[in-house]
Amino acid sequence: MTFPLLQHKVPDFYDCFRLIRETRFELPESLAQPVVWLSLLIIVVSILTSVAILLSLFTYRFRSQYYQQKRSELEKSYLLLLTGIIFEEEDEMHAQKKKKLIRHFQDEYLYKYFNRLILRKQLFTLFKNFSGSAHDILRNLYFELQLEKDVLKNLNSFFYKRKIQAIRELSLMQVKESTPRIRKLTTHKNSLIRNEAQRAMLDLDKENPFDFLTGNSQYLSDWDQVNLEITSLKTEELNIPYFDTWFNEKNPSIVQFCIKMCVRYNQFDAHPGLIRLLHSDNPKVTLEAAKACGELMIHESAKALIQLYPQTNSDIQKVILNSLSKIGGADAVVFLESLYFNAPDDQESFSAALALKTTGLYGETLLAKALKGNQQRSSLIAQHLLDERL
Amino acid sequence: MVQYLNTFFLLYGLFITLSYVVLAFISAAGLYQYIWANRFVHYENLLSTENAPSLSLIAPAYNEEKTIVENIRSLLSLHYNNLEIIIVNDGSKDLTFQKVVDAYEMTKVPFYIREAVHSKPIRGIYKSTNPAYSKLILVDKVNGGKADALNAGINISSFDIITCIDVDCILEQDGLLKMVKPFLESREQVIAVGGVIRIANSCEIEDGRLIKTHIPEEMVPRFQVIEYLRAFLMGRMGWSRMNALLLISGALGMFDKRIAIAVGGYNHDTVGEDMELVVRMRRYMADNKKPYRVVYIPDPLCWTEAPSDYKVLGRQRNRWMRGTMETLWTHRKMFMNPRYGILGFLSFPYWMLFEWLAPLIEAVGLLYFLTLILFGFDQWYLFIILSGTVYFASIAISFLALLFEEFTYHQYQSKRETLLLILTAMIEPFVFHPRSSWWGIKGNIDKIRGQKSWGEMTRAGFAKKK
Repeated sequence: MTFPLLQHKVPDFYDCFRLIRETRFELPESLAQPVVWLSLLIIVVSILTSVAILLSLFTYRFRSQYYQQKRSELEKSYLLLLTGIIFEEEDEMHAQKKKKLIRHFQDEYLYKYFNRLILRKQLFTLFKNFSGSAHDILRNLYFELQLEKDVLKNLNSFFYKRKIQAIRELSLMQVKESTPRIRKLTTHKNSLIRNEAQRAMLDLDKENPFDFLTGNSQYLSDWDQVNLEITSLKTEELNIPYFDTWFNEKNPSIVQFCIKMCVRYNQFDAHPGLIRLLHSDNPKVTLEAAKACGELMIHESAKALIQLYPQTNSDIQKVILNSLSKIGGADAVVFLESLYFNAPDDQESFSAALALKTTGLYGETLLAKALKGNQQRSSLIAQHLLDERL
Repeated sequence: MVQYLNTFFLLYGLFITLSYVVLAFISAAGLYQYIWANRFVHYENLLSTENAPSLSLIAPAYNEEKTIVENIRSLLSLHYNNLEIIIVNDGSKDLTFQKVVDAYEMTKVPFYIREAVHSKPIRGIYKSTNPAYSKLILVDKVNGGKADALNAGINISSFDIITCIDVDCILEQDGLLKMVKPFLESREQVIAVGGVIRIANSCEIEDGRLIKTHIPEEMVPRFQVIEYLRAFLMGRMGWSRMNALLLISGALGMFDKRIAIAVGGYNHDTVGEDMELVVRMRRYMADNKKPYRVVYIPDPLCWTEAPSDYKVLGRQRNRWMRGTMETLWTHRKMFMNPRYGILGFLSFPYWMLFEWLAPLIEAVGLLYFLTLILFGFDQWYLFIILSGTVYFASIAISFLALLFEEFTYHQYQSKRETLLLILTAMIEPFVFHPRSSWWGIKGNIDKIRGQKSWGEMTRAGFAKKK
C-alpha cells in the first residue's frame, strides 16, 4: 500500500484531492492477522447485538403499552359490572341479575387467561378495600366463576412468583381446601414462599395459626418476623397461643420470634421461660430475652440480668441497662448508680445514667445531684440527660 | 514487537468488554430476582412495629446556604419512625448554619460527646425548641472536610445503623425502608448497604420531593445518565451479587456503626473516603474471619444534581480517580491475597486494570497508533479496526444498560427521551469518553504531584426547577 500524503510537505486542497483519488487502498498483509479477524467478528456481533437490544427495547415498550391499555379497558368494564352487583339491594331481581352477570363474564371474558387474570386482580383489590356484605358477594362471585382453579394450579408452578401470588390470593379468599398444601410450603427452602405461606396460615387456620412453628428448622429472619407480627395484628379473630410453648424449639430464630410475640401480646406468664432464656447459648436469643424482661417489667429477672451483665457482650449489656431502667427496684438502681459513677468506659457510664433517668424520680434526683458534683464526667452526662430535648 | 502490542491492545479492549458482558449477565439475574421478590414486599410493615431498627441519618453540609432549608425539609419528610437526622455544618463560610438555626428554631444544648472516631472540634450541638423538629440535630464544627464531618456525625449518633447522605440529594420517601431491609433479612451480618444514585437535572422537584423524572436537557448531565445507568444497574448490581462490591457511593450509604467505629471511621487523608471506608470495613471483617455481606439495592433511591459543565465535572472525575488510587494503594495488601477471596482475586485486579489504569492504557494506545501512522507503518489500519471494535462494543453495552432500565424501573417514559438516550449513547464514545479519560489521566498526574484538594463543586440547586 502507498499513502503518499505523509511524503509531501503541506499539500494544498487540490493536491489532497488528487492524492486521495490516486491512493490505492489495498488490504495489507497485516490485515490477515487473527487479531483483525477477531476484531471484525466483535464488530459484527456488537452491531447485531445492538440492533437486537433496540428491537427488544421498543417491542417491550409497545407490548407493555398495548397490555396496559387492554388492562385498563378490562378493568373499567369489570369495575362497572362488579360495583353494580355490590351496591344493589339483595332481592329476586338481584339473584337474576347476578346469574346474568356470571353468564356475561363467562361468555365475554373468561375464555382467555389474561382476562381471568385481570378479573382476579380486580376482585382481589376490591376484596381488600371492602368489608361486610360486599366481601361475601365478591367471594361468592369468585367461586361461582371458578377463578380459584387457575390459582390452585399456580400453587404447583415452577415459578416462585406465581406460587406466592397464589398463596396470597387463596388465603385472602379463604380457599380452605388449599390449607394442607399451603401448610407444607411453610418449610419451603425459598424464604419468600415460606414466609408467604406462614402468613397465609394465620388467615386460613385461625384456631392454630402458629402451628407451623413446631419443629420448623428453617431460618426465620428478622424481616419475616416483622411480617408475621404485623399480619397477626391485622388478622381478625385470631386465636393467639401462648408463645412460651415454643421456647424449647431447637431453631433459635423461632425462639427469638416467640419472645418478641410474648412481648407484643403482653404474655407476662412467660417470665420463667424468659429468665431461663437469659442463659441461652445463642446471643441473639439472650438479647431478645433481656429486652423482653424489660418490656414486660419482670421484677424477678433483675438479679439475673445484673449477674449476666459482666459476662456478656456490649450489645446485650446495652439492652440489659435499658431493661433494668424499665424494671426499676432497689437492686437495679444501685447497680445503675454504681455503673454511672465507676464504669471505666464513657459510653457505658452514659448508658447507665440514661437508664437511671428512665427509672423515675430517684434517678432524676441523683442526676441533678451529680450535675453539681465534683466528678466532671458524671456532671457533663447529667447535664446532657437533664435537657428535655435530648 | 508491533504485532505483540497490537494483540495487547486488542486483548485489553476485549477483556473490558467481556467483563461488562459477564457483569451484565450477573446483574440481570440479580435484578430479575430483586424486582420480582419486591413485588410481594410490604415495606410499610416496618412502620408499624417496634422491632424496626433505629437509624441515624448523617448529612454533612458545607456552603449550602441556597438549598439547606429545603434539603432538611425533604429529609424530615422521609418515611421512617425511629430516625434521627444529624446535619453537620462543616465550618461553612456562608450562612448555612444561621439559616438552619433560624428556619428550625434551633438552640444550643449541653450534649455529652463520646468521641468514638476522630474528628475536628465541635463548636456546638443544636436542637429545635419546636417539637415538630425533634428528630433534627445540628452539629456545628470546625471545617475538616467531608470525612471529618461524617466522623463527627458518627460520634453524635445514638443508633447502631447510620445512613450517610449528601445533604443536597433527594431521597425517595421510602428509601430508608428499602435500605434497612437487607439488615433484617440476611443471615450473615450486613455491614453496609448502598443504593442507586440517579441524575435529577431537569426533573420536576417540589418541596424537596421528586415529582416527575425527565432526562437532562443539557448534554453533559445526559452523558452522565448513560454512565450512571451502566455503572449502577449493570456494574454494581453484579458485584453485589458476587459479594465483591468495593464502592458504595458517598451520596447514599447505610452502615453498621459498630464496624465503622471498629475500623476508625472515615479516613481524613483521602479524597475517596466512601470507597476507602467500604474496603476497610470489608478488610476488617475478612481479617477477623467473620461472615458478612455488603448489599446493593437497585431501586432508584437517591436523586442528585450532576455537574452540568465540563469544568466542574472534570474536577469531580479527577477527585474520583485520585480517591481510587489512594484506596487501592492503601489496601494494596489485599491484591491477589487469598485471605480476601473474591475481593483480592477479582475486585481488586478489576479496579486496578479497568478503573485506575484504563485511561492511561487508552492514552498509550492512542499515542502508539499515532506513532505508527506518522512513521508510515502500514499497521495503522489496525487503529481504525480496533477503534471500531471498542466503539461498537461500548454502544452495545450502553444499549444494554438502557434495556435494563426499560425492563426494570422505566423512569424515562416518553419516546423522545428514549431516542435521545439512544443518540447520547451513540455519540458518547466520541464526545464524552475522551474527556473522561483525560480527567482520569489528569487525576493520576495530580496524585503524583501530591494534590489533595477536593476541588470546588458548584451546583445550581433544585429550587430553580420548581
